[in-house]
Amino acid sequence: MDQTSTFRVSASRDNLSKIQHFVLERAEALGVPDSLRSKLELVVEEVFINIASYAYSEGGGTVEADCALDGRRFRLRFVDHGIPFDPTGQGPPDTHEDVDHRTIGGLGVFLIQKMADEIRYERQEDVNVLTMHFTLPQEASAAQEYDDEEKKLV
Amino acid sequence: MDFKNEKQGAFMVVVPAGRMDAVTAPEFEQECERLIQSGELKMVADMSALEYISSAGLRSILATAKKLKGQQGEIRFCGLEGMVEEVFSISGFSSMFPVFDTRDDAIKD
Repeated sequence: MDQTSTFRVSASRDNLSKIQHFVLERAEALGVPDSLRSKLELVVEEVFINIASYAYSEGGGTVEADCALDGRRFRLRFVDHGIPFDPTGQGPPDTHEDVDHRTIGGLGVFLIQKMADEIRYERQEDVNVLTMHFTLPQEASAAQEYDDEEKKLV
Repeated sequence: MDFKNEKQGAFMVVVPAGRMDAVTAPEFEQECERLIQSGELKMVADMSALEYISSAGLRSILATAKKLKGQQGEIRFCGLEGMVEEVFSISGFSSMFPVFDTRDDAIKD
């Protein structure tokens, strides 16, 4: 059974809720528990807004998202054709500074790094591919086991 | 994003409701800017009606806090729950700002 489906939108921040909706709907269909919902929503926003803001200096580019279950993990992948950007290579922001010294920016990538259990970046010719994995909480693993068991019986 | 503002003692309590994301966060900043313009320099943001916040929301909060600080004002927070609390904590905002459990605690002194 092919569990992957791809969603493509233009890289414009107006499409934020559309792409969030796609990922959450797919996650639900794949049996990802609600406890991961806000984490996924946040990561989708941070990745998408980064692409919409910086990837295409001329504008007019697209973003593709796809999701699938990969064993006991939820896989979320973003593809864009913009300038190279490796979010795994960014250092943490100054989270210990006070209001005067704290700079605005860098927090989005930091939140992605904190929320995803694994992040992989690849530049494939002129394409950025960002793949993130989220470990499913215990409750989902149990459901998955039950599904496997059922398949065996069939 | 909706706002409910309430003056309690020396503080203007701002209650943002809904989602503070890359599309809506500027509304929070504008609302606070409007209050600052009208002379409200002591603010409490009651986050209990906020379902979601992203880095764009944090950015609006930091920009507001910097404006207030520049005018000897301040902003405090209360009612952090769920993912909003988690994002505040991860980003260091919980230690950068005065955070209280309840609104009553936040408006003391």
